[in-house]
Amino acid sequence: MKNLTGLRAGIVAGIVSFFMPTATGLADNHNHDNTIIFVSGPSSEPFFGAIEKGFTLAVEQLGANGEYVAPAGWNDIVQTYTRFVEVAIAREPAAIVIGNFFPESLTPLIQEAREKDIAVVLYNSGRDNWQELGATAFIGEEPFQMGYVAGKAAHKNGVSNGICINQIAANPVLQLRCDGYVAALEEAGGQGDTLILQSEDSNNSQRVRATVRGILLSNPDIDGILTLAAHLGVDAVEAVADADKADVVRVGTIDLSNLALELIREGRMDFAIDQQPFLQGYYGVLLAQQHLDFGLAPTNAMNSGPLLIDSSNVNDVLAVGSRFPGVRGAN
Amino acid sequence: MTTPLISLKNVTKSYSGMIALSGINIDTYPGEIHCLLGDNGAGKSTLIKIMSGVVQPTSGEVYWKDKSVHFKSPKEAQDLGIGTVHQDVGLIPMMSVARNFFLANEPTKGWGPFRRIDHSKAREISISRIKSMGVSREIAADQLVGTMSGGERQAIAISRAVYFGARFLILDEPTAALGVKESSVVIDLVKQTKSTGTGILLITHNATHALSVGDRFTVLTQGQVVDQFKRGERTREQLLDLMSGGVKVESVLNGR
Amino acid sequence: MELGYLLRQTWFGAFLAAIFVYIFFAFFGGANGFTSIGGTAGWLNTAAELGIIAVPIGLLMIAGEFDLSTGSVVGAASIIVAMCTSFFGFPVIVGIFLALAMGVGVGLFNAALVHKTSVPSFIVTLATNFIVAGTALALSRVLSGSSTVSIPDAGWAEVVFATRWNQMYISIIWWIAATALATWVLKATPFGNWIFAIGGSNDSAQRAGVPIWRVKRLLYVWTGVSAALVGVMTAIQFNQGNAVAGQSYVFQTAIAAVIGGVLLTGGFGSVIGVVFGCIIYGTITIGLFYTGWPTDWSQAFIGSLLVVAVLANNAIRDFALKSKN
Repeated sequence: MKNLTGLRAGIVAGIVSFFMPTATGLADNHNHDNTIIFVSGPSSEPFFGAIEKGFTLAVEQLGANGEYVAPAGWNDIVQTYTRFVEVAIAREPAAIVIGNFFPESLTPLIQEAREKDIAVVLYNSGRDNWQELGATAFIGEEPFQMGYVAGKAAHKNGVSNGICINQIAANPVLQLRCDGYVAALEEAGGQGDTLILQSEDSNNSQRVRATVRGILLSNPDIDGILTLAAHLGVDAVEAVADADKADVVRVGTIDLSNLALELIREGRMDFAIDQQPFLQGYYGVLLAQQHLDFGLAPTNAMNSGPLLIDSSNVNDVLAVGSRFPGVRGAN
Repeated sequence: MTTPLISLKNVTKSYSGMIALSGINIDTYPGEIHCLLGDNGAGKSTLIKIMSGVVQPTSGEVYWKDKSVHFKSPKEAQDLGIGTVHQDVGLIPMMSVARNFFLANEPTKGWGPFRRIDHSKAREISISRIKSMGVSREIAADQLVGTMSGGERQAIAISRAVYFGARFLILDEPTAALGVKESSVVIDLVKQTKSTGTGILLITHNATHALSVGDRFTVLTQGQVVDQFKRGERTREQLLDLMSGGVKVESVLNGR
Repeated sequence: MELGYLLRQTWFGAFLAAIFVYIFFAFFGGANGFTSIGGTAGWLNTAAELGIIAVPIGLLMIAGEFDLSTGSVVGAASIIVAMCTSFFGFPVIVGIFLALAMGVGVGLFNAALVHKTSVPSFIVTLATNFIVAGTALALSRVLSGSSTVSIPDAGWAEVVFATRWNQMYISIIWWIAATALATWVLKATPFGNWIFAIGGSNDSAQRAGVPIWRVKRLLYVWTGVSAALVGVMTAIQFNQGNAVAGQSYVFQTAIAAVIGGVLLTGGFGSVIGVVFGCIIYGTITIGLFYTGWPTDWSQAFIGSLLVVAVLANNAIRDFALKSKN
């Protein structure tokens, strides 16, 4: 019954607004209801699938008026994501939850949203300056830290010459993770380098394995690999085996997949750095809703990662994954 | 005697050793229809290519109004007044009559960056020219050529060639793809064009059509002229025999 | 007669589809503000950026050729502007000039390659797309160490390329200008006549004396420069150059042209149709947003529409060629 009334109201509003575009345009200002628009990343990525699970659960538990929008793929992600945020702001909701993935283009938009009195909650990226920008809260990783923790863990496992494989050259977040990895290795007296993988090849396991194998054979000094996506970590482990270097080259990855977790349990992979995307989706909504309802927000950035997953805790993570598929960002 | 328009003197053409034409002599005159007959592979298309400047003869001379000419490109032949209407007519089906008529010769008005096609002029001229060919059906200048019949397309192509200065027209199998009724329309077009003093080379393998309009005739077989004659000198049966591969060529020639 | 006239216009199907799509989203998204100024700005901005490239792509497709290299030209142009201004410290005009010159160069390269190899332009320009994208990525990483370079301040160029008014970007004005120019060329000039003729029948056009390679070369340069212009625009709007950006334009521009009634095999189409094609694209991608439905569906919408568009265009063309007057 509620749905029917809603539909009728929608139809009437649709017709009215169609014939009187400017009138509704002006009337838009009081459209400050309690809508929370969550602008997420490509749905094809299990990582963002976990964010969506967190989002959905939060909306359900809190009874929030949340909307989840996401681009279909990685193509032109800077432009697409920026446009999505632009349009979200144009709708003048009560709050937007976004990642400050691309500071150059998103920073002015965050300021614009604040000028329009739209609350902004940042997730995943943007830890450095969320308070200066007037954001309500921040939940997420710091990309440099993600790589840095990975570099530390790799060093502990005896890696002195590691490469970081970046599969999306355009993504500054991924670049920063690699920088963190290299920095941690160099701090410990080792060395590190970044390798760019053609992004259209990154979903082709055969191609990735052949490439990594080629790199290992032509650079015999390399004794560590960090990948920035779990499926690439799996490919890297296979490539290491192909090159007959399983006892020399240690592999670690950022983000999770069930396969990667299995490899960690078997001891073929050393670690996975988790940023717990589910929490970013869940807390993104929660932080926005509590701010809208009560004006409350944490005073510091909230950390959802880096969380180091290695042989010591991998079984617990796998157990959760089998009970609640997708929640750990792994499938 | 009038000066011939285009003449070939002892023209031979060979492609990497294969002889396509040998020892060809042809004279064409203004206001006359010269029919070129022959089966497929007789060398008709090579002859057209030589006359329209697409290829140069291996040996022999091409004359235009008694002056030796060496065409380096079809454009040079066109500039002298040699127009060619190919079997596919060379019109663009998805374009209007007027746009087709003036393709690559668009009338313009205005100057500099504001130079633009004078559409009203293009419409007016194209329609009046096509009508003067005796096309009976009402034709609109904005009509797409693709909606028109084969005969009407021939009318557009021929009137276009004549309007842009063709004194001599090469018509390549204009009736080949047409039905009986449309063919007769085209034959009328050819006669109409001839009456304006234009010289015409009509390529065909339809003896009936040829005999009904031709003033002079050349029959080609395997790259050689097997017979040349004037209107009335051969019967339809003789002509058919000549064209059917030269079996009776000797007897015909000897019997002369 | 009037209806018959409309049914024979290449843009009419796209026009009806644009109206339908707009009403559809006004109906389901109007309550959320799809028809407000902000919502209108959203789809107009999207359509404009696409349209600046799609309009010349439409002309090229009418002439029977493809250009799938525009995507990487967008990215390359943006990184050129960014590197010139931020990294080398040149005045912004130098970066813009070099970016547009790169667009000209890619256009000339495409035309020469298509001409010399006689390989279908679909393949040749796709190859160019990879060459340009790879070169841009490699050079930017060698020179600046990164594939993205930020532009802190573009000065006067911000006014020309990134002015925003009620959330509408100045790119809409550029789009209108590009549309007006292309419409004029296609409808009013001999050059436009040649474009149709080449696409209708390359041989016939050549025999009639149309300089086909001069025409194609100019059209390739036109698409190249337009893509570079969009690259400059996005760089200055987003305050950063990104060497690998722009790939979504590769097929979106061709799709917009086809939805807009341009025949895939050439010879038939209109600029205004392409404009409607871009509006449809913009309306769907942004409109879904306002319905609150999962945005995952937008590609399925576009794909379905593409099928419908191609079928409708075939019907319109057949109708145009059958009807006498």
